[in-house]
Amino acid sequence: MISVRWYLLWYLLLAVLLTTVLACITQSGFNLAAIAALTGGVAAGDIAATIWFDLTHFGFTYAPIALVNLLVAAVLLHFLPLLRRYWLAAGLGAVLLYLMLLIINIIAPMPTLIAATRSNTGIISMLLCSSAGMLSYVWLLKRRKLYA
Amino acid sequence: MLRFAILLALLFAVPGLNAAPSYQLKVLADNLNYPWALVFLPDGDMLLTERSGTVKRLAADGSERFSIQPALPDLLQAAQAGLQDIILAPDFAANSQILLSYACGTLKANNTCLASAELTASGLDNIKRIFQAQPLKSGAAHFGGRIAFLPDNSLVLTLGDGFDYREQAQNPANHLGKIVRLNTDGSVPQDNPFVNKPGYAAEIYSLGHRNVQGIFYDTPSQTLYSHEHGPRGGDELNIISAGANYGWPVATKGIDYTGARVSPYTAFSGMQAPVWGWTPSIAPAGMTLYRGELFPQWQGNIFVAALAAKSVYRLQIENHKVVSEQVLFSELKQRIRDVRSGPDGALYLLTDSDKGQLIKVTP
Repeated sequence: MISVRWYLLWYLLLAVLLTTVLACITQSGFNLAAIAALTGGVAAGDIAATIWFDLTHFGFTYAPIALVNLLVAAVLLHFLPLLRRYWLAAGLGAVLLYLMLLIINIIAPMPTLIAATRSNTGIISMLLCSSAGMLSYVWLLKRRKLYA
Repeated sequence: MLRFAILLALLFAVPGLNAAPSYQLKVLADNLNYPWALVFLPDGDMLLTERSGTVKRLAADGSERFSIQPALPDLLQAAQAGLQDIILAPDFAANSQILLSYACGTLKANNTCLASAELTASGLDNIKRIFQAQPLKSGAAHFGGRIAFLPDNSLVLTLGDGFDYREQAQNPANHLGKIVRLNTDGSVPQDNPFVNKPGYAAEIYSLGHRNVQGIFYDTPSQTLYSHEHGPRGGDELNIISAGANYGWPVATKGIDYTGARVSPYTAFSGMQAPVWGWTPSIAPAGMTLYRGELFPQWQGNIFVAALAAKSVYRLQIENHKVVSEQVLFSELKQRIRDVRSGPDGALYLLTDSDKGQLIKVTP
């Protein structure tokens, strides 16, 4: 009899949701910053509308990326208990995303698929989103005292 | 009311007035390796480029007279990079000069180049690079690469934003995302809009473009038309004016391929709005304005070759405005790289694949 621990899936999905939301806001921020630099500023209403647009459009592109990213990280955490420390889990999420971005940009016909990752600052920001997702995942697990 | 109804009925009854003209398609050449551009020689022959770097001279019936790989300085072949447009210099009859645009450099440092060459009986001679767009950038996307001559015998060369460098289309100090105007020796015409203006590249004719792959100067209307690829949506047909800013990436109706918004603005003060647009994208890749005699109904119409839409868009223009659009040749089910109006009044199409075709359209 195999027992399925559904809470692991829910925790993972919550982490994916958080990562996706943060990545969308980050993506919006970089595009808006670039436009603001060309136009002298962007109105608050346009900022809010762009973030909402990205959440409801870019989010559907990014969510599968975040899912694969955090799923692989979660599997590694499961089999390698040493990684269940906050800072290691955060680093793991970031490193895996970095490798995924490299692969995506090799496969995709355009040089850089995700506009925010055209700069080093943008890449680091997106990696931090992934780290935040992993942190939330480990926090949820620890909260359940599974790894405490 | 009755008279109006009769008039309407008569209008639709007159053959050829509203109905699209029937046409025939004839494959003149096939097994072309991603053909890119076509130009007609005074003797009826054609010169055709392939992205792989090949120049072919074809007779009017499509038979091959020669196929060569000209030694273009630093030709880059990768993804969208390669040999692009070909055009005869205005004084071709006197000196056999042609001009070729192509991607040049390496994958890490490249841009669009323009070369001059002399057409001989067996190929090209005296090939020399006369212009290289700056700065050099990495990646093999968005080179623009279409050429047109203006009435004063200067030429305009379209350039791309290099994809990853889209904000540079608004930077007047470089050539990314610009249309440049040059003399046939690569020098800068002294009446270019930004000559001697500090912080501006003297070659710039217009700015704020993404990836312009169609340009045509229509002599009767004295109008320079161009079209450019938008990202996901936002393909544009523009009328180009010296010194004007066409908005990319500040004003666009397109979004990133990921779904992210490029800009909150679809229009912006001081930036030219397109005269026509396509969302979703058709991927416009070549254009002509028909002034031939074989298709009287197409007189003055713009034809836009479309890659993604696998067809040609016919646009009727009145007072510099598009009044109607018709999709043609979709039965080919082929990506169309270029469309040209031949001196014989026929329309010529290039299909985009490793088994590309040159197709002649006649009534």
